[in-house]
Amino acid sequence: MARIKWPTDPAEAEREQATLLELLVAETRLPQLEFERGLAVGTAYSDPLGRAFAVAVPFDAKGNYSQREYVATADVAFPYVPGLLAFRVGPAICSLLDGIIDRCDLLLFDGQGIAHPRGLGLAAHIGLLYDKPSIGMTRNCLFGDYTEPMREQFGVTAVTHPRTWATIGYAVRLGERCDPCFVSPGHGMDLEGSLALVRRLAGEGACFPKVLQRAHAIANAKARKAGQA
Amino acid sequence: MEEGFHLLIVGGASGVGKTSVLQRLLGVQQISTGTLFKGYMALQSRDAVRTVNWAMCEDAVAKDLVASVVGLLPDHPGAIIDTHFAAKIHDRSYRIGLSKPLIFRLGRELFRAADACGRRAWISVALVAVDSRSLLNRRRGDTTRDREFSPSDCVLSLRANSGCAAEYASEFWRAELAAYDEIGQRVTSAVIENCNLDSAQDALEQIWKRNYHGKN
Repeated sequence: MARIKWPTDPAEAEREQATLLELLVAETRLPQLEFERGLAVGTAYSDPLGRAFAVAVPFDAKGNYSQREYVATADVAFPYVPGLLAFRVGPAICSLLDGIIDRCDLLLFDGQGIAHPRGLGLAAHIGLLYDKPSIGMTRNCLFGDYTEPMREQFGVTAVTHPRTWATIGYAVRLGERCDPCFVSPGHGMDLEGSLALVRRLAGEGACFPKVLQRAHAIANAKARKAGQA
Repeated sequence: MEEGFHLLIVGGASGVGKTSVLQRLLGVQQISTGTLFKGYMALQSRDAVRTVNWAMCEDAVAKDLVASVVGLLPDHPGAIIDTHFAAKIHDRSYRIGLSKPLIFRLGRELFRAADACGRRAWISVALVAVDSRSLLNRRRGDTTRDREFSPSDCVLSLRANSGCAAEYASEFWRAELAAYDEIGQRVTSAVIENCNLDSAQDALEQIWKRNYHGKN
């Protein structure tokens, strides 16, 4: 695949997001939410090295995953700016996905989808680049307003845009004793579809989808180890 | 049916499929503005075009272009100019491919030369377009370029070419007005959506044949 030119300046990155928003598809492209193979993508960044790490863990339609993992790194000189994560870790993600994306029908990211100040979080941005359905999940609500969901499994409330009040995602408890996590659709995905799929993929007893926890943990471990080398 | 000289200008953003859409008209004389520009520069690769100062060559290219078109007038049914209506200058900025005075001059010289040799001349401006999503997918899959590409460029280049195609048509209409005191009889414009190659080729062929036979 042709290589993408990533802006290195935050102002240029914001303009890129605003332009790309035009390409975002807000409807589900998975008929009946069926898919064969998904990839959970976790990322980390090593400031001392100026290097991004991306890890993808494949999973099946029930959320089961093996020990298989794909790893890529990229040297990226982009500062940490809330809302611009894609420009810090995107080059590593693309380096990873370019070779394996054809074997995947769904992307799950440790990051936001449309619940984002400019409507294009990491999950939406990368999903759009590959024209693949994508969902974003985070442990914290990074953008939007919500009320606490009921303390029951799959208790859910809407996350709404602070100005338009439109629903942009959900706060959901995957277990009765769990803190809420936050789901938003990325590209080729709608709100209900993203929530339904996360419920299906979560994994027994997990407060955050296990496959995404794994991808994120591996990425962090790689970054730590590289930093110690 | 009166036959004349049909100048068909086909343009669009990189990657929309202009070359493929033009396949059925290979028998018609084709002039590429890119080739004319490159003739004035020593370029090592397709992507080196972005590092040169086009404005310095524009006058010379315009002279070549007018001479080429007018030179074909006496003995040919027409010619096709293969071009980009908008050219990227840096980052997110575009400029019109040929400056407006030069476009006007091309139209004016063509109409004058046609009148001088007793032929009727027509100009068609055809913008080849695709949706931004398709263009992004095509550019992602294009490994013939040795440079990186900017995804937002897929949106911006389509917009720029669309806007500049309208400016090309405008200048040719001004040339028609200046020459004949009327507009709309000799200059037409069209958009060809290249979502299906056969259909796009059909559409371009219809445009070519329609004006070749002197009917709007």
